[in-house]
Formats: sequence, C-alpha cells, structure tokens
Amino acid sequence: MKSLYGSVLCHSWQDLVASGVVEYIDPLEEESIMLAMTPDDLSDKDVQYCSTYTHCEIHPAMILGVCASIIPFPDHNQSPRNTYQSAMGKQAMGVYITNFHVRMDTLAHGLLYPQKPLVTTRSMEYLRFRELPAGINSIVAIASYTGYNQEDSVIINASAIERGFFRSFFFRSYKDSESKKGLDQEEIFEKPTRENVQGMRQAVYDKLDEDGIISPGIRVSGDDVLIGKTLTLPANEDELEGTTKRFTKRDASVFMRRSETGIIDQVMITLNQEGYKFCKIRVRTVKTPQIGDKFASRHGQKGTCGITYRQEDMPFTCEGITPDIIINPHAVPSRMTIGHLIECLQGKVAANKGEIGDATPFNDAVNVQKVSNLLHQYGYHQRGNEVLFNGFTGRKLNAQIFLGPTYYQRLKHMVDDKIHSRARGPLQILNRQPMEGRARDGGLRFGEMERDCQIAHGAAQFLRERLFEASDPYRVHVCNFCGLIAIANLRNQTFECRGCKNKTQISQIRIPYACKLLFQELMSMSIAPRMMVMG
Amino acid sequence: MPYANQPTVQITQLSEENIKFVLEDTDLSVANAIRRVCIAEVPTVAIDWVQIESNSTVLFDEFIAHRIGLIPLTSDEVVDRMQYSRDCTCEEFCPECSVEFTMDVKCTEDQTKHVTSADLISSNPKVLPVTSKNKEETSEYEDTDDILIVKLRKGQELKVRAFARKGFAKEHAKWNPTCGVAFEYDPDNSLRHTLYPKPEEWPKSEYSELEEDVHEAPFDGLGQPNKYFFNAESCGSLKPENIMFSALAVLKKKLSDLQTQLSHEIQQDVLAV
Ligand SMILES: [Zn+2]
Ligand SMILES: [Zn+2]
Repeated sequence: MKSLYGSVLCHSWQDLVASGVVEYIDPLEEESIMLAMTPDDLSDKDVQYCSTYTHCEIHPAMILGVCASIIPFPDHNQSPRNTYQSAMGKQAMGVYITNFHVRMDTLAHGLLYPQKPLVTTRSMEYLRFRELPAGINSIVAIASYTGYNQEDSVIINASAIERGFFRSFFFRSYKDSESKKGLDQEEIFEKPTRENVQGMRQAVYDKLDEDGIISPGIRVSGDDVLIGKTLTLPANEDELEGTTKRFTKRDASVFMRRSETGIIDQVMITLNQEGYKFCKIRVRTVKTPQIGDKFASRHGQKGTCGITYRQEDMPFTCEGITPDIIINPHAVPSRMTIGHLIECLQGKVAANKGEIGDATPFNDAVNVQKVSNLLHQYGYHQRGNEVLFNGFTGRKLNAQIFLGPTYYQRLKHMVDDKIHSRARGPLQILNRQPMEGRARDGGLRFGEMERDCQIAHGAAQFLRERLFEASDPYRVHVCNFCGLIAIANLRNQTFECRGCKNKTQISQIRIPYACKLLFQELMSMSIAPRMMVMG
Repeated sequence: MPYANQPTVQITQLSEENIKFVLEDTDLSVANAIRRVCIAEVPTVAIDWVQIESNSTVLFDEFIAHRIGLIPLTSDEVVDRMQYSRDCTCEEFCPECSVEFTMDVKCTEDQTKHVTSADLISSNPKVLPVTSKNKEETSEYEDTDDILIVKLRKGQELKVRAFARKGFAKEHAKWNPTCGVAFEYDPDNSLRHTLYPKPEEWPKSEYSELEEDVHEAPFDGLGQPNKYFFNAESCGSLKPENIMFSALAVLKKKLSDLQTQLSHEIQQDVLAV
C-alpha cells in the first residue's frame, strides 16, 4: 500500500487505470478474485479474515448497481426491500432521456415537474440521477387519518395535484408505411371515401387531412383515424360481366387505441429503407394523479391512491404545513424499511439547512443521532415527529405524527389504463369463446379457482350460465346408435347418420362450442368420441 | 341563546404578506371554520381560460396553460364587484365577469429569452400578476422575481390570449389566496388533546406561557379550547386583511343562508301538518 501511494504521482483516472492501481473487473474475474471491502481489512490485525486479498473495493457502496444506488440509506433496510425498489425504480416516471420531446418512442411517460432528490447518495452524481430525476420531494406524513390509506394505499393532497404535483405526460406513437406488392397491389396514404373503399369502420375519417394523415393539434379519442391508408383490390376476373365493381380499394387505416384519448403532438413523414412513404404520429396526453394510481418511495414501499383530500381537509401542523401524501403506519414495522424513516429525517434537516442531504450507504459520518441533533437545533422535535391538527375539526390529533420530506416516485401503472368491463362483445373465431384482454374488449376470465368456489357452493345453475350460456353455447345432432355427430339439414328438417343408415333416431344436444371443436379434432386423429344419449 | 359568545380579536402583526392575530372566547369549530374558509372559499381572480395562438416552445400547450393559471393575480379591488362567470348574463366573457390577458413573445436573439408573468398584458390595470404590482419601484438592473413561464431559444414564439375569472379554491387550488394558515390552540397542552410520551422532548410553542424548566402545563380536565393563534400568509392575490374580511363575509353568508333555509323548512312543515 505504502509503495503505491509513493509511486503513483499522476492522479487522473486514466493514469490510475493505466498504472494498474484501479482495475476494471469483469463478471468472470469476479469469481476468482479475493476482494477486501475497505483498506482497513488489508492492514495487519490480530485476527485476520483473509491474507490472500487480490483487490480492494473503492468504496463499499460500489457493491450496488445502478438501480440500488438510487436508494438512500439502503444499509438500513431489510434486503428484500432494496431488491423490490431496484425493480420498481424502472417503472418510475421522470426524465428518461433529455431529448424525449423530439423522439418518437412508441410509449413514453414523463413528469411535468421532476425534482432532484433532497436526500442523495454519492453514486447518484456519477449516474446523473440529479440531472435525470424520476420523482418529487413530497411532504409525507405517516399517519392513520380517516382510514382511506389502509392496505398500502395513500392519501394525496388534491390541492397539490391541482398545482402540478405528479402531473405527467404520456406519448404514444403510431406508425405505418406505403408499399407495393406486385403490379396491382398498392398501399397508399389517402383519405378513404365510402364510395369506393370497402370495409371502412364506423369511425371519424374527417379529422384526416387531404394527404390522409392527421395534423398536429387535433384532439383525438378512441377509434379515430390517425393515418388513412387504402389497399387496391386485385381486379377480379370472375366478376359478373357488365356490372362495374363498386369497391376498388379496401381500408387499411391506422386507428387510435380505443381506450385512449389525446392530442396529436407531432407528425413525421419520411421515406423508409425501401423508399416507400413512411409516417409516424405521436399522440400526447396529460395524466393527473387520481384514485387508483400507483406511487412509491425509494424503499420498496409502493401503494395506490385511496382518496384525494383538499388542503383544508388534510391534517396540518401549527405552522400550517399540510402533507402531500399520507401513508399508513402499518406499512413500516413488518417491512423494516428504516431507511425510509431516516431519509425523511435527513430530508427534514436538509430542507431546513438548505443543502442536499447525504444518504450514501456504509457511511459512518451520518447517523440518526447526529441528524436528530441537527433537527433539534432547527426547533423541531428531534425524531421528526410533529403535533398535527385534524383538518375537519381543528382538534389536535391524539398521537404525534412523523412528518417530513420524502422522495416519492409515480409509477407508470394507472387505473385509467386498466379499467375494463364488458357485457357481450367480440368472440374468438376458433372456439367462439369471449376474447381475452382489455385491448380487444374481452371478457373477464371465470377461471378454475372461481369454478371450484361455485362447485363448493353447489351453485350448479350459475356455473352453467357462466361457463356455457354466457360463453360458447352450441347445438349438435347426434346419432342415438353410434353417438357420433350426424348430418342435420335444418331447412328440410331431415337428419341422417350415414354410418348407421339411421334417419329417425337422432337427438339434438347442447354443448359448448369448444367441446364440439375438441371432438372434431379428436375425430381428425382417429379417435371417436361418442355422445350416448339416454332415455 | 343569541350572542352567547363575545369573541375578541387581537391583531399582533400585520404586514404586506402576513396577518397574525389571536382569537379568543369562541369555540374550536368556529376558529377552524375561519381557517378552512380562508383556504378554500375566499374568492379571488385567476386565469381560467387560455387560447394558444402560437406555441413553438419546448413545453406543450396544456403545460403552459396550467402554468399561466397558477400565477397569482392582484384581486383586492375587483373580486367583490365581479360576477362569477356562471352567474353572468353574457354569452362567454365580458368585463363584468372576466379580465382579458394577452401575451406575445418571440425570441430573436441568440441569448435565451425568459417568458415571465411580466409579459402578461392585462386589460384591467387593477388585475395584474402579483410580481408586476410594484414595477415602477424596482430598477431595471435588479433581479426581478417575475414568475418564469417558459424559456425561449432563437426563433421560438409564444402567443396567448387568456381570460381570468372569479372563483374559489374548492374548485381549483389556483384560486387559493393563502400560502399557508398557521393555526394553534392550547400551546402548553393543558387540555391533553395530544398525549406526549415525553413532554420534555418537545420544543415549546412560540405562544407558550411556561417557565423555562416546565415542559407541559398541568392537566385541565374540564377546560375547553378558548384561545386561537392564527397566522395567515397571503400568496399576493389578496391583502392579508382582505382575506380575513372576505372569509368572515363568506362564513356569515353561509350561516344566514342556513338560517333562511331552515325557516323555510319549518314553515313548510307547519303547512304540511
Ligand atoms: Zn350412427
Ligand atoms: Zn360576463
């Protein structure tokens, strides 16, 4: 060690790397090196853990990766919570790149008012998290108030939302291109007309410009046309002679997602690699926080908004401070996210001091007692508690409340993107059961476990309704002798089983279409499923 | 029991931004009602309708509209004489119920240009962004505290027409005339509405009447809150004293409305029987 200090005179990073003082380790090398956490471990001690060290960590915090380096005081959290936050930080809205407003990303969420965190780790500086933040320093109270923050939900200040708290934008880009397949198959951007275009949807085509592409600034909602495109139909030869075809083209337009609305933000028209006209359209929406939207601190403490209260209904301190967010006290003990509490305490000191607070892990210079003492000097209760008054009545709350600034993230899971209901709707072609998924206006699955419940309750008729009548009812005719599906001509009311030479002994039965499909598939594999009709 | 309480008010401080007073001999519910009304129901004027004629800035239209709406406008002299837009006889906007603002900024130099609240041109000299109120006094070279709306680079432009309307904060927080209303009672906790596990840990209130080495007043089991310490800070749209006058007027109107409604109901009940 000593010789290293002496020999290396130039101290630029490159010099250090070049002279081998600092070495980059790849994952394979990691397997075979002996790493000391601190230089202290290298010095001679009475009881040594190891004497064959090959390397020494620059700082213990460097054991953490990009995602975990954003967590303040991770060394005070239960380890799974740091793991959760490492996954959740990726869903947080913020500034994901500085040129987001010119990019045509298929999907992008961003905050209108992102803030750099009040409590930071030293790694954040190198990760540029302060330049590309993903959250807001919120005044958070850990309190039980009215009961609308139970089971990991949070109460949010509605007045704060109106002032722009966690407002976000959402960009979605749609794209399409012209093309030419063969001589008569052409795909062109144009405004389709009902006179000669086949298969036009019940949608507003009027918002399109003459070139078939919508222009910026137009408000659009579900099923509106964004890019008008037609496909020339091949000239059919077996068309009736003399009659001129009404339709010469088929509609191939791009439509807005049904459940979304917005304003056309940007339109890009260019040529693609093959030289065809190519177009991208970006739709923009502003999303204000509402009941059901998801928020999280940096300690794996996620929750959805349970209610929003206006400023006057929120609890307040004797200084008139109202929290932006109220989380439930039950969220803390079992999860043991002490880092969350220390962040809040450090944040309170930092806000009073007017400086950024340090929360680098494995740093003995910062500890709770020191932070508490500082807070006490600013005239607050040393542990960050405050007397709060009930906003509705003005009466003091019986318990004192832990309150202070905590960095919160808005996660990109929002109710309005998930809300869904259906009564009748599209069916799958193959098995005639309801479609799956919100995007296709699908039904909600009545799954095996739900089925088990109904069986346990003995609700047989209800089961029949859900699984059959409301799903894929179908009828077939079977031969009473062989039990196989018979030929039925319903127009003449004639029935026949060719195999049994039977034209009279036929029964009509009702089975799910999927069941009929299965039987036919089995038959195609030389298995005869027989439905023997009794009585 | 009419006029059972005879509340007294003692104003301890009155400045451009603050009003600090002590309210005595009234119920907690009354004192809290005043606090709540100050925050939520005192009418002010704020921009509520924005037409963007040209916007080539980096911020999109809704973003700018929202920012403009939040700028506090001086409302002292006009709100009380102004009509709510919904009650006005006019079709859309008229001087009775609205104030028109225009803004037309273009950056022609290489330097970035700041679009601020000072660029909002009002049709009514009494209704101005708060930061433009004392424009003549401040020198040109001094740093202004004009509210930044957006920054422009060369060639970018923002042209806006907007109308300010009367409203109150229950509808939208932009009409809130206060920044915060500090409210306190029983500073030495003699009523034990809150229970301190360790009273000695707690910093004393600025209104405390205790000795140096005493941390909590003795328990007064029969006491009622009686003395309330207020400190209302204005955001600039109304003078602090006007916030209080307006709040009391709103509260008074609520009570008289309740009284007339009640007497109507009693009369109807008598007729029904
Ligand atoms: Zn048969
Ligand atoms: Zn009018």
